[in-house]
Amino acid sequence: MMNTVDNFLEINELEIGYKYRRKSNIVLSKINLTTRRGEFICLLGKNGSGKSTFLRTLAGMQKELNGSILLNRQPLSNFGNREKAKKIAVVLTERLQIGAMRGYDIVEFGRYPHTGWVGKLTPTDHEKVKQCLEDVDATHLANREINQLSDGERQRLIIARALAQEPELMLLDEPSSFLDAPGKIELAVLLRDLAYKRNITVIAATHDLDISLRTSDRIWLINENHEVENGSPEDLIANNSIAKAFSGEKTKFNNSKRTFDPDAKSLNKAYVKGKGQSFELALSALERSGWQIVLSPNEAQIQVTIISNGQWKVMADNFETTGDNFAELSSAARKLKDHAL
Amino acid sequence: MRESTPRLGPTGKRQVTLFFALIIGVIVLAILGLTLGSVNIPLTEIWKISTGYSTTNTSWQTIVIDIRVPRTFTALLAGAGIGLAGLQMQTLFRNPLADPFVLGISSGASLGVALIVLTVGSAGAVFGAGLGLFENLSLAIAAIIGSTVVLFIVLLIAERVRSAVTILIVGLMVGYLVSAIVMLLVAWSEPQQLSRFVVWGFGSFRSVTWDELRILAPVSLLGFLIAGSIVKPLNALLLGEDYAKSLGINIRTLRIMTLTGSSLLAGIVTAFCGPIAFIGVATPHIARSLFKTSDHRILVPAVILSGAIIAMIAELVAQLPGNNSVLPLNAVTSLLGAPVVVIVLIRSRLGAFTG
Repeated sequence: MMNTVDNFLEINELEIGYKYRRKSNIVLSKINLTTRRGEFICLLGKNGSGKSTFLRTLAGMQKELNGSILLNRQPLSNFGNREKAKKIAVVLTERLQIGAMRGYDIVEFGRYPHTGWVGKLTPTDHEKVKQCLEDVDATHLANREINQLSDGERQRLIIARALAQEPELMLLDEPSSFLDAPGKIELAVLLRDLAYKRNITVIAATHDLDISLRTSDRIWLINENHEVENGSPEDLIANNSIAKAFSGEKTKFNNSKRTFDPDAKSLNKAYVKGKGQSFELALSALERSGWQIVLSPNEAQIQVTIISNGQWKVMADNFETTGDNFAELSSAARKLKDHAL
Repeated sequence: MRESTPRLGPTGKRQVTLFFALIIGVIVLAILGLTLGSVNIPLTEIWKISTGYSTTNTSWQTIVIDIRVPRTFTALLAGAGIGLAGLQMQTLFRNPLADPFVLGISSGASLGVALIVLTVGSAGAVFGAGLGLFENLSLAIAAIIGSTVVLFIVLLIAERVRSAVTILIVGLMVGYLVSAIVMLLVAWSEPQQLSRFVVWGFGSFRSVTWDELRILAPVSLLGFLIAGSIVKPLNALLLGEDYAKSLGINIRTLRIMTLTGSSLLAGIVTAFCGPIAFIGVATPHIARSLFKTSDHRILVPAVILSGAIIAMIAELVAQLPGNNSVLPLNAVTSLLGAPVVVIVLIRSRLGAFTG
């Protein structure tokens, strides 16, 4: 696949940051990346790692300090405001604060780079607006007043607005930060599908590790050395990059579960016997009570046996107790943890 | 009210009806403006005079042609102009409390007027006695110079500043600075000069003559045209400056156009009519609530019409039919208008401005 890269977006030796009175504050440097069209890319990094600055620079809202950004082999700075608006659309973190507007009106804004000075839409423009509403599954929101919509519904409209610009590149800064858990996944899937369906490159900055690993084609990872790594989710897990970039003092990235383990340095180790869903749930109940799960009974201070439907038995050196549900398991585990050390 | 979901969007029967109603309102009020006054003139005579027929009573002709017509036109233009300036300021600063004077423009005009009335007056007592037309015009010129200087300072700073809020604060500070100088001038002035200055501060549409209208009208129209030419970028600005930029709008140009256009309107009106308070803040809110939209393609004409209506009503009330005294215009607009705005805002389910 690598030889089909058509270098739709090409970033060379890019240095980004802020300039203030001839002093420049470099946020990231030596960024070298290329992408082809139709990819869903997640820009991953911890809070404050420079994701927003990177996105704003890509959007041309902020000047690069050094290096170049080429879109279709042309420097970004060559495009005029309006031309750029036809190629790049953004979805920002700020919440929209407009009253007295319908959903449809919001999406209409996306046609602005394509309309004349009054902003009057042609029938073709209206067709495109409707198509965009349909693409984000928001046709039913067209006549709703936006003050009455939920965060998720608003976000769909804002994305439809970005689509209506007919961009080749869509940049989103923390697009799911106001959304609930299912909403976050739905949004990521929506973005991925849009990238495929419309053959546009979608780049979303996020710190939502779990969802980006499961949905994106490619990850740009801002690592602990302030470099941007580029790879598929699996490759970045395999070479430990994700784990290194995200693990903190008290948490550790678990490569097989693709998520973080709390209390990674916990000295309380438990061995669990059982199977099925009850087994999985027991692991979770123990973990949140501060126990690390180990794979051999020899390392463990306690042994937990899951019988069925939440029935369990805990055995320690000179101690044994049983219970009927996971709440009891977790409170027993918490008590044992305090006593064990 | 509750059961009716408001029809929004660029077109709608309700909005067309409203526009008709407003236009009829303007016409009716203009006729009333020509008819009502301290002297009773029969309607037929007014019709004759205004359609160009000569009338037997020349003093009636003078009253209608030289007093009532310019007064009505001035109210119409000033109300529309101040309202439009207010709309642009509220959108530019994304602040429902902004009005055309937040940038210190009215303070600048006050300073110009104060310099003429309070200092020059003490040099020659002639000014205290009044110079008739010349005095009026010189006040206007002083006010224009004052507001232009302040505008220039604010624009100079706006060029260098990134955030609109900073411009707003700078404008406020410049305003305070200028007001302080005015206050010093007031402290050092004679009571007689002071009363002239205070009267200017009342605001009035009636001191404007035909000669002055020849300046006021084209400048106002220019202001209307500027506002009309930026409806699209103003709409985009509703999404916030960053989104507007991403839609291809040049924020700096838009800022300068908006500031210049609305300062032109506010400056010229203040110069001839004094600092007209309230209409600038209130009219955009009334128009948004009536038309239930934030779309500037609708709001610009809506504000022009409703601003004109509010100003003409205020002017009619100020002259208290059957009485020779005239109330301060600024007192009338606020006394009548403030409750109306509160009622309109409470009755409309939508937040009139944001979120």
